[in-house]
Amino acid sequence: MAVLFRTLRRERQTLSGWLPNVSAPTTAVGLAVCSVVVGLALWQVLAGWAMRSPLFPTPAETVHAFVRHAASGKLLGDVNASMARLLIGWSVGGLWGIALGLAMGAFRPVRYYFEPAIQFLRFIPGIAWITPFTVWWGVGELSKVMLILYTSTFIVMLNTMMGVFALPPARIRAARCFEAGPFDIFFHVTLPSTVPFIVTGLRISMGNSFMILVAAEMLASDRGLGFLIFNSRSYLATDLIFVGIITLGALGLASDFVFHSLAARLLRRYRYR
Amino acid sequence: MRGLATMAVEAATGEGQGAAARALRRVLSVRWVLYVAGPITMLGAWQYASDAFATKQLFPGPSETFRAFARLVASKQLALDTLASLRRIGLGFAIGSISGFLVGLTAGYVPLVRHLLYPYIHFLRFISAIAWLSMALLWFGTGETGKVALITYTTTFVVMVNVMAGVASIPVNRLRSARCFGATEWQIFAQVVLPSTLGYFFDGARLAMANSFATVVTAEMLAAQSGLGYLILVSRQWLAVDEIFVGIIVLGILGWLTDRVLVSLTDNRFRRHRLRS
Repeated sequence: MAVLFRTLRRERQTLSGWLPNVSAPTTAVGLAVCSVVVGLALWQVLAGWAMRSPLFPTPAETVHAFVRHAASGKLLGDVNASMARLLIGWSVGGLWGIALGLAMGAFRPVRYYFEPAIQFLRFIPGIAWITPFTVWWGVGELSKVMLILYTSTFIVMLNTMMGVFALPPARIRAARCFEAGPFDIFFHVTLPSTVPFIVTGLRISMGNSFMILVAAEMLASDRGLGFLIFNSRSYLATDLIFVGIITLGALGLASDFVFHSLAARLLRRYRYR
Repeated sequence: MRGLATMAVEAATGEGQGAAARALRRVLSVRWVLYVAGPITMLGAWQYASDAFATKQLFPGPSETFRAFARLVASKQLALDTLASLRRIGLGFAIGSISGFLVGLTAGYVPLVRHLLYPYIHFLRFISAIAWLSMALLWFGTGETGKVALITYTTTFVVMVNVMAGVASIPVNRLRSARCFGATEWQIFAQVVLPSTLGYFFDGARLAMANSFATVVTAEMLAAQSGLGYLILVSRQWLAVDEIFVGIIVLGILGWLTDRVLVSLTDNRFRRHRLRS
């Protein structure tokens, strides 16, 4: 224990690290790569030689299933179905959320009127609505898109509202000194200042949309990655389940990365980093 | 003694003095009038829309929902389902937040561990617990273990990422000043690092609680014989939308209550540990 603390202390004092220069970017990347390689090797050894059960597919089997499923074009079909639902629901919900959030943040009576209802609905997990939505709109695309739309509307709306509240009053006062009217203040002060919060809300809601999407596709669908994951269980095709899970993670990671870097590039003047 | 009406007028015109007049003025302010008017008009609109709906069974109003609530309470069905859901969440959340806190603290404190865990954390973060449902059912069966494991998974990651961010955000000068006063490494850990991360831990726990509710509902819909998710799903089979609404509303109330508990813990008990910017 004492040795550990001494090591930690040295690291804290030099602020460089435990191993020689561990904070250097190259070392960090090297350690991450090592960790992934060792992890995959361990998985292969455990699943391939120690377990040897259909319940634990090896990485090699997973890659094989991925290639097989991708070559037959089925994987692309699932990805397309999932992404179409996600993008429609997320973008429409996001636009709604921005409009509602701005209205509630900038106009107090609107906020007071809707606040109790929103504070209540906020705590209902979006997926709980799947049953009434399928009763009302059937098991087709509409109910799934509506579910994602509902989820992302809420998150974007709350974030946008927080952004309006975080607006420094001095900025509004400064605009007033230059004789800006309420219209000018809304479009040239409130809206630009809120952009970073809106983008953050959109990113969070993208993550939540993926979660809702999978659940909805498991419960009521015949296409998509959630369906692939749930349906493969009936055939004990665990390698396909892993293909679905990993594709889903990669898609989530990629869409977050694309959206974040696009926003950081395009919205730099609004101080979004 | 002045009459209530006089008081109300004085309060509304801003002439009244004293606590009673102030309280009355508060109630009569635009804000509180709108706070009350909002839910009332919305409930009214809901009831009206439901009455106007052709097949009322598909879109019950507030009064039908309340009757279904009374029915489910009387048959003890609601209590049993609520308890089943809460037990799963409680167990998974406890295991997940403790392990997430410990791993997050270690990873935040020791760079080697952080760099080794980094790729896994940032990949698994994008895979929701629901996506693991099929594997959880195969590995742990359809019993309680699988559902608790899923909630543990969803809680661990959120709490871990938050605690790591908390450790990273400790100002270096705070550590240096503790060291200048001759604090041992253990004292720095217990009196600087730990308190500074508690706020982040509770923020993570709040997010994790919301995710746990979503996870438990989906898991119960897909593989369970009890719980609020099961209630919601099974009511669909005989088109009892009123019972579905009861399940949804109870979920909202439970989510709100647990969030309040976590917020009050953060706000009062640990306020002095919060970082001030």
